[in-house]
Amino acid sequence: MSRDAILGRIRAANTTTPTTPPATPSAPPSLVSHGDSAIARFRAAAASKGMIVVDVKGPQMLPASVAEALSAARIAHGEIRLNDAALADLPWAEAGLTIARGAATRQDTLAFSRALAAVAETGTLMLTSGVGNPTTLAFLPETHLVAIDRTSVLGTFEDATALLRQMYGTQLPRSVNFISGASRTGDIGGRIVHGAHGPRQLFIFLI
Amino acid sequence: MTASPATFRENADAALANERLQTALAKLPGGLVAQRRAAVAAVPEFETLREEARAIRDTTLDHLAAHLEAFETKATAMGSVVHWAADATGARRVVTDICRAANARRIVKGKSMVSEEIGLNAHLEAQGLEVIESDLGEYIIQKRGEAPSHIIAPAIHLTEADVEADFRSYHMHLPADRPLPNPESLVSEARGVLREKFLTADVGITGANFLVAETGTSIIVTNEGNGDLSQTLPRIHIVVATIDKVVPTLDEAMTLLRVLARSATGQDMTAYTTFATGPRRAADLDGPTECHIVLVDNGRSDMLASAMRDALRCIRCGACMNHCPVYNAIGGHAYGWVYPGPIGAVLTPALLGIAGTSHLPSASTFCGSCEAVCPVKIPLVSLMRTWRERAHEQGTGSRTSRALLSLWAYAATRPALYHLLARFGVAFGGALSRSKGRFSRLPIARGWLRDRDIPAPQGRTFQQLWKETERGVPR
Amino acid sequence: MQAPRAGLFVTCLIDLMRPSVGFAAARLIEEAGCKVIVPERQTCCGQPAYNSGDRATAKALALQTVRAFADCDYVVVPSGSCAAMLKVHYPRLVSNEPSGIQSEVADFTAKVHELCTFLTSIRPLTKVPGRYTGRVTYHDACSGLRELGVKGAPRRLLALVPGVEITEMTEPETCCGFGGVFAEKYAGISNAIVTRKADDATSTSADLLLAGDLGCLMNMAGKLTRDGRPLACRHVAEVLAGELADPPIGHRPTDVR
Repeated sequence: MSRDAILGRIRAANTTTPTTPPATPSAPPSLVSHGDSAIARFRAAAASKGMIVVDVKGPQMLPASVAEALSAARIAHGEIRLNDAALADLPWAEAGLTIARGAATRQDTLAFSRALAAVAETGTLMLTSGVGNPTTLAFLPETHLVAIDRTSVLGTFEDATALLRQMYGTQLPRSVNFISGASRTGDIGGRIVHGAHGPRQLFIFLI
Repeated sequence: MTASPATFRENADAALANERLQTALAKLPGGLVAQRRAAVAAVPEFETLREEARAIRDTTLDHLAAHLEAFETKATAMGSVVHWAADATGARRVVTDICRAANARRIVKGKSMVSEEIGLNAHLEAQGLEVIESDLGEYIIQKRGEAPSHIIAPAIHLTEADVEADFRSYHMHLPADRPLPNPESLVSEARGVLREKFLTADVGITGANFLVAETGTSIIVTNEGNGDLSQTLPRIHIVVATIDKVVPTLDEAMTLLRVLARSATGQDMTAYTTFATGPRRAADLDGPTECHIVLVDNGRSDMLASAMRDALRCIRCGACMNHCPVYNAIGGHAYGWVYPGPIGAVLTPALLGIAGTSHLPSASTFCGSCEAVCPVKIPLVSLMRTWRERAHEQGTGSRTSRALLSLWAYAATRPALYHLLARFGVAFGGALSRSKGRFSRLPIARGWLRDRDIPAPQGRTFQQLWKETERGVPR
Repeated sequence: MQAPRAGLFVTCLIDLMRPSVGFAAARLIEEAGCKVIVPERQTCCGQPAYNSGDRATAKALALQTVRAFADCDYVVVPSGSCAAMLKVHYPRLVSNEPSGIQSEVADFTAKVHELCTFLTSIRPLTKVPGRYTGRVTYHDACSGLRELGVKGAPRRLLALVPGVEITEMTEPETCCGFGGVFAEKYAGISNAIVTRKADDATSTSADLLLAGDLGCLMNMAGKLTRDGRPLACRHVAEVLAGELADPPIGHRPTDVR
């Protein structure tokens, strides 16, 4: 059987005294941040990657902020696909927006996800799949909207893995998506173009 | 493609004469190289990170069997089916069997170097399956019937004009007179064509940048999002990964991710880094219903036992080729196989044997730029030199150069004889060339002399002149 | 107090092609207060064999070199790549030899210094004999740069030369494409690499291209003269020592500059 043959060959190759595993590395000091400085760092890093960061005073204000941000970016106020129960309960109609529940379909142009956390180090969003957060929301529509609580902005990726372990142990959701900007490619003539397969634009609503 | 590592010299000549390719390659120094420099400069601790990354890879390899077993156990517990394949044939069979069992017809693929290595596409197509590469660069070259010329930028050898011409000939269902004036329009067209494929594919195949033993997770790192669509939309997800991809825990993965994108594209993180664990859960609204992970050996366990062990640390960032003067001059296709550049010059002989591949480790100036940027500190120059030693032991290479080397060695290890021969040789050479200052033609060194002169010797050796002076008073 | 004995490892290329560089190096070492010794039992550092996979010959040459310099306090090498061979690679070549040989080699490598590093870190010069009025650009030859960290030393020494203005290339650290046997075996690739180097060096509008390695200099000079470009090449030691009587590398005797 291939399995045993492969493992046997590996064991035979590893005859010398194995090295002791190094202590788990920690984030380099220049990448560490906390609290307000983490939020500032996250905001700057996300903006440098072309994401639009919008401050929102509270969840109830979210629909209005979304409407405003879309208008400012001249994006049509189409139906927004989402499946997060708390997000669905917000006053979308009052903001002149419509939502649809479920995973993304090929027709959707706008989708809304909730990030479990963000990582200030690189301006990265961390989304976890689940019933409220179908993965397709982050990849099929042209415009991806993501809500994140200010208190969920973490400093480093070590903080992010610690959170994952705290929430899930070693049983991760099917998909943990670290998103650091809109879809992009440099495959044609070396120039960066957005919207290769996934969203062309990404909005972050910092609540 | 008829190019092979054995025809390296001819491949290189063709590459040097290919103006289109030269135009494309000229963008490297100001592109990926400059971007990496900026990204590294932004992290003062980058050297520490490289050292940590090296240590992680080394210690993982030291305990590889245990980590693979742990990965298998966890991945299985999370609902994935783990398969093992000793070689390319075995890996192709496993993938084909999964596709057959699922009555699959259409397969979308995320970028995967190991699938290139095992010739997966051609095999699946021969079985009557439709295989669509979804990474834009891979899509372009798949249509052209070419191999990737770079491990992270597979179509780096092509210009925008090439892609436009290709799209006009492939996408015949679109109006012939449609405007395609810029990369944006080309990307948009490919997006439309490929979107349809994603939504109708039965199987998605991706590689893995890392496999995490702690959680049974496969990690992919992309910018386009094609890998994510490939592993989310089709009902079956197949991960094809070599056995060296495993890391113990999420923390090690994070440290490696910190050096990966910075070394590859100069990004601190790519747009998408995704941890995928098993098939969709009961409550999920999307995701595949089956997840298979094919662990491929194909020569890695042999490498582990060989002098090439350090090359297994590679995390496939491509920095070595971006910084290689030889790669910059000839691009990736000239190397004649899947992995180009310095890492290719080490891996290809390890996976195919040194007979027929000895040009690859030989065609290096040993400038060391590759080692200087490698995020896991692979001693690429030493490994290439080891391959040269193997080739020398096995007597490959031209008889003439071996004979010349032996003659030179005979003299150089006999200083008195050497100095005598040197005096005559230099006097003769000097007499022939000194008035001109250089040789422009000679019966030897024709390669060099085709485009360069050989500066004339001054006519006497230093040893000779030094002896004639009193303790080094200049002549 | 007796002056320390500094063995000059001439390098085969300087011995054969351009002895004036050897004299320039000797002069600088003397300026640094050393007695220059030139052992006759030296030939080549062994790189042509080592990099062709002929480890046995490389090892024989290593031991020959080590023993030739046994009675020196320093071994000074006017070439980064030969110095790296002596200092970094000789120990690797004897790693399977008896401990006596290993320690003999270790004693040797401790004494080895690339010329510019020697003149800045080991026996620092505060003034140099040379003077040169003009703009120069400096190519960081690969082995010296990446294996020995030779980067600031030649520039600090050049700053001591009255009249010299240093103007940097866009990519002074990019390989010139020489690579020893590589330059002939893969001549087309080598030429493509040196073409970019020649373009970069020419665009500095310097009138002199300097480096610390004669192999690289012969490659770059050979390209520049073939293409009829006016930029001249010299070893950095020639400028530092004021050994400018000979024409630049690859130039006619009438072309002295």
